Amino acid sequence: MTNFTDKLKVIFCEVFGLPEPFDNFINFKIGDFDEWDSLGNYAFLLRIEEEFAIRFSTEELSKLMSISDIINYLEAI
Amino acid sequence: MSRENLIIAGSSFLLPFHPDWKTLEKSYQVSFAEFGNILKTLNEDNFDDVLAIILILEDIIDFNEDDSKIIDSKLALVFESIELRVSNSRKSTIIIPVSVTQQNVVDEAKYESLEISTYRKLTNSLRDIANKYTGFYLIDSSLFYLKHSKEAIFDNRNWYFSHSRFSLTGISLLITGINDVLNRTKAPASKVLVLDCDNTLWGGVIGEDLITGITLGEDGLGKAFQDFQKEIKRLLNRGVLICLASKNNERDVWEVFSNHRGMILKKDDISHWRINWNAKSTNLIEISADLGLSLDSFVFWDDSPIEREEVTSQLKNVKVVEVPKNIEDWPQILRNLSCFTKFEITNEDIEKNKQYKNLTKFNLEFKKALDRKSFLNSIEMEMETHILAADNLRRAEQLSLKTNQFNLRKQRYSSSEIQQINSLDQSVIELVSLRDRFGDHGTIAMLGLTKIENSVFFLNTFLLSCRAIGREVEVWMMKRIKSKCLELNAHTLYAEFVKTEKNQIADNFLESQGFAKVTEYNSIFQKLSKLHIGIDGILYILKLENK
Repeated sequence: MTNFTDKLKVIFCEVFGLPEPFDNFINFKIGDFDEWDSLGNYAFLLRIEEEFAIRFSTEELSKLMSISDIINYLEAI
Repeated sequence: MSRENLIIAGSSFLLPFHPDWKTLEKSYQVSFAEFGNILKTLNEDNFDDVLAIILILEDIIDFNEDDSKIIDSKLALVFESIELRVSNSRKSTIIIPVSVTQQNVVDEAKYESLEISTYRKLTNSLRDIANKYTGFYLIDSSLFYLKHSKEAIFDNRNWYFSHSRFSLTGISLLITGINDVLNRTKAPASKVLVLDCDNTLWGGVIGEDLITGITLGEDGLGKAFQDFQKEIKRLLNRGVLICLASKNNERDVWEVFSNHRGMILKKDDISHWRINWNAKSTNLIEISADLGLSLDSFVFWDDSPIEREEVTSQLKNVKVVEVPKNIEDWPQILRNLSCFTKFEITNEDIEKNKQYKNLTKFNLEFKKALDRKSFLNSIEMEMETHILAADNLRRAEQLSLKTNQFNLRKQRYSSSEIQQINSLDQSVIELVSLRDRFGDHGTIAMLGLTKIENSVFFLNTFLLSCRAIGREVEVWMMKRIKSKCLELNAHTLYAEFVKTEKNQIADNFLESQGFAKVTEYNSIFQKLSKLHIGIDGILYILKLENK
């Protein structure tokens, strides 16, 4: 769990150009700030694919829209 | 100076969030045109911006619906729009045509499919445009498939999810291609390859193994060394100067060059050398001084990690190739070194080895001469000017990109910009070639005049290759400019000197030629900026007297 979260935090900051992740990172979702719109979400998911060497289906790309969604997904595989 | 704009236009979505796009932001202000509308971007007023187009054939042609007539008319529209831009823009235009359809080998075994023949038509016509216009560059996407499979480059899921044909890997390849081409439009290729000999040009140590014991030619590793030499020869033919820095007895090395049947390189191919027991860095410095070429245009290749480390630590500007242990990979690695890549081989490149040999002969005698002035008078120097033409345009670009020392301004003009300047009313661009009794030194200088208004001109270019410095060619050139101005009925000539870290030698030159600093700037600044001439340095004026 922590492992996933830490790695996600790094990707998150990189994709959204943040110096460090927000507090209660785990509760964040699409739309919580300007950069995390649908395009931002897509960018984020493609970077996650690369980092975790996984591949989301078209459906998953549309459904995974929050940090908790993504963590749940990563834990399940 | 502000960064140039670079517009990226795709016939479909190009994942603008890809982190690699940022690599282009070091030199350019990058923006993305509305995707899916390349023709619109091509027809917009963006002639002052660099443009990179990614054109996916299947985005503009529907192979199930369009018949060959429609296909031809769609392609014709693309070509027309491109020609309109490239004939009007002074900035570079890059195109990457791509086809995503995967054909079956059986279907293609007898007759070519419409998809493949159309793609061929597209790339052939673009190639013709690239040959015709110097500022237009074609990136052949089939070269990408040598690095990655089509499956890795394209991504069907991304297509249906976001209208992007590409995977992140595919986008990376596009960016690398664009970056490589744009870099070369702004910075010249490396000029000199310095090689070790033992275990580099041949296997073994000549001092110990003798000529009969070294590995070269025949099969196996000997063949790999020979292929490596063939790649060196290829670079030589493309204008790279080949030099040796070897710890050996000089006689032993030349014995291999003269008498080993496996040698591809001949002594005559080597522009300069230092074969002794000194540190390689010292030898590189000496070679650089003798050739009059700065070390940042040097590439060093040595099998020994210790020698490479010594050069790296002493000479930060030299590019030291990380040579792998496997000799078998060397020919390919040398071929792929991006520092030597060029758009075109000029006549100057082909003659370069000979010209530098003439130059080193000159330098040697020049150093020994007691009275330099009378020495220069005795060597039958002959300068000749040439107007800008198709066969010297690339050389003009090379000179503009490469000349640092005797260069009054720091503007770097690409060939299309040079053409543009030359096409202005009453503008003059001339190239200067030099001969003396040591031989032909090739095209060594460029001068350019732009008309500001009636009888008033601006010296937009005045540069002299480092290999002709110290011969007072610049004085001759200034005389030439003055007489050219009088021919054009000019009474006033403006010139700019921009001081850089490298052009101290040109400091005070304008004063010595009768120019005075301009004190009243405003009106002349405005006139120059209308002509897109920005002044970053000191502006000078010369009043010409009509006789």
